[in-house]
Amino acid sequence: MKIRFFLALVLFLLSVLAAGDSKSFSVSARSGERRVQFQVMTIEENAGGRKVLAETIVEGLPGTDFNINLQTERFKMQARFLTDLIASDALKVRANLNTRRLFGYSPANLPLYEEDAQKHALEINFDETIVLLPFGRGAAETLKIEITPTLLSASMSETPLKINIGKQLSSGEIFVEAAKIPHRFETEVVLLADGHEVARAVADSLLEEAGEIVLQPDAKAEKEITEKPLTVKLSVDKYTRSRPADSVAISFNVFRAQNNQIETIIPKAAGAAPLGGELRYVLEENYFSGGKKYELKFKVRLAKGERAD
Amino acid sequence: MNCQYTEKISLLVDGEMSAEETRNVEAHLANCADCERLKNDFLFFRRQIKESARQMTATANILPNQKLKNKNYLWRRQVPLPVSAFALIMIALAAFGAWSAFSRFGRSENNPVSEITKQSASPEKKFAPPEQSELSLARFDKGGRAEIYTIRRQSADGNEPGGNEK
Amino acid sequence: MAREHEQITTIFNETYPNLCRFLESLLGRDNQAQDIAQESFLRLYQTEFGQIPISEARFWLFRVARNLALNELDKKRTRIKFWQRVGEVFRVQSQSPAELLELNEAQKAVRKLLDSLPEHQRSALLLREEEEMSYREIAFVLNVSESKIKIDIFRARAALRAEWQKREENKR
Repeated sequence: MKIRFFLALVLFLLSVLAAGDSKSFSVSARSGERRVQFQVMTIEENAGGRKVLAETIVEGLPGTDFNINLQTERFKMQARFLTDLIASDALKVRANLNTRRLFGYSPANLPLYEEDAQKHALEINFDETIVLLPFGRGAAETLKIEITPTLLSASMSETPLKINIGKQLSSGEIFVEAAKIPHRFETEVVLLADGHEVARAVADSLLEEAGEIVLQPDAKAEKEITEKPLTVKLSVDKYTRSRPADSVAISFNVFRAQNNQIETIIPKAAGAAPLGGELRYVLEENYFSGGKKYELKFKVRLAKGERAD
Repeated sequence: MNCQYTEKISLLVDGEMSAEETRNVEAHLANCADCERLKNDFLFFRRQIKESARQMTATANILPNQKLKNKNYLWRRQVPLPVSAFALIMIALAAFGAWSAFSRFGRSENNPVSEITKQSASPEKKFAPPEQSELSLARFDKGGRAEIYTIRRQSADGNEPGGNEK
Repeated sequence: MAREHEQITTIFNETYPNLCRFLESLLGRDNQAQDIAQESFLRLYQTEFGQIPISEARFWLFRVARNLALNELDKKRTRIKFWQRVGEVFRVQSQSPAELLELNEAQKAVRKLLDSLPEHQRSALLLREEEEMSYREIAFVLNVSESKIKIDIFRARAALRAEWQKREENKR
């Protein structure tokens, strides 16, 4: 799993460095033709067999995200799933698991909690199933949540998202919710020297996934920019629906590399801007000898073929 | 009060002891003024709760009476049950009753509701113990850590416990 | 089939007002007791009805309703600063029903004392006195052991008694 992710990242880097211009994901143009469906089944499994306790079906365009929330008296789990169709028969599913369990009480009678946070990136085909064990394994009876994806052809009705609630637990302890927000963005980063553009790059970004963007200097750039190009490692962290425009939050760091030495220019920064709006960040003068004032300008737009609804 | 029968008085007024134990405790009561007072106090609270409960039920879901209306309760969002909502619930219940009767064809147990509402302490009372008919998922919680993995589906049963994890 | 329908109607008629009353002891009068009571009926009949004997329906209803009510309270609890004692949180926040009704002084006082009990003790005692459930049935509704119910009911009564005696002494 980790190897695949690393491989994907390397390929991403290579494609960005080689092309230097935007390259949209291969299926984005076709994503309008297909729909994905996730069947979420809650199952009790013990020595005697399996019993389906609850079922919910989430169906929508590729890029539909869903959350599985489980809450009992002492335990709470939130599992967030971000899904993307990366090939005609492959899904990339990123899972964020957060659990909290009431452990007991302190001598001062304050509640003590045991918390866990996990991040997983899974790549699956449509003949595979994701299995989530909220309480782990090893007990005589196990609670399993199985998520089975299916690829469907587009329906006649153009609903972005459908949730079919089948059997449910009367205790209400499991709750599935879903949302469809854009996952693919095109990020444009421009380096300005005294207000003039001297380097730029445009790259595709996937929501909540960091990518490295190397700024390509143009003829006007100073030698120090041409010899040691700046690299921006950026992640679009959050997409928020808002009025008058939706907004995105990004986080990034900036460095430059030469001969295997990395010099960090900005260690950690973040910002938010309306979709398509500008975010500016001034770079410190210490790193540049030409005496010019350097600024980074960010613009995040939806990637080609990505829908806003 | 440190009489050893203290906690048993609570069981006594609830009828939750065997016939023999009950006799023992009642015999003790004849000689212990403290326990007799305790029993009377417990019964006193029971009366107050029951009598006030009767009043509460009467006003639980009817339209507010004049006295309440006259006060300026800005916080009150209580929605009285309108006839249409009640009718809707009855229709839903009738529909589900019909459906469940259909799906329960062949079942034999069908005890009248009135049996349970009578106070009864016999151990052989017909009632499924919590361990067998649990609804809460807390029974699965043995303190383990959550896990996630993928498995390849079998064509027929889809049941592969030891699937390949990534 | 007609008999089943009758039984369901009977359960509804007999249980709904009592369920509302029980929920008010958890949530307070102005807070969704009716919504949760109705939600409990709908949930139960949608999902479990085919598998539960009608004789047990009432207990399932109370259990589901209480869980839903506790969820509601949990939402409120997380907003309150965490260092308040857990017991205080379950005290009914709104104007108590006792003050709105025509109860005599003793009844009002007992209701007020009940509100100050921790939720699990109050619920156990109310299910015993108002709903006349056995310890076993109460253990099912509250999802704890019978021995815990025994202890909780005894402690609830003992607490009422202690508070009552204090009150009597303050009067003099």
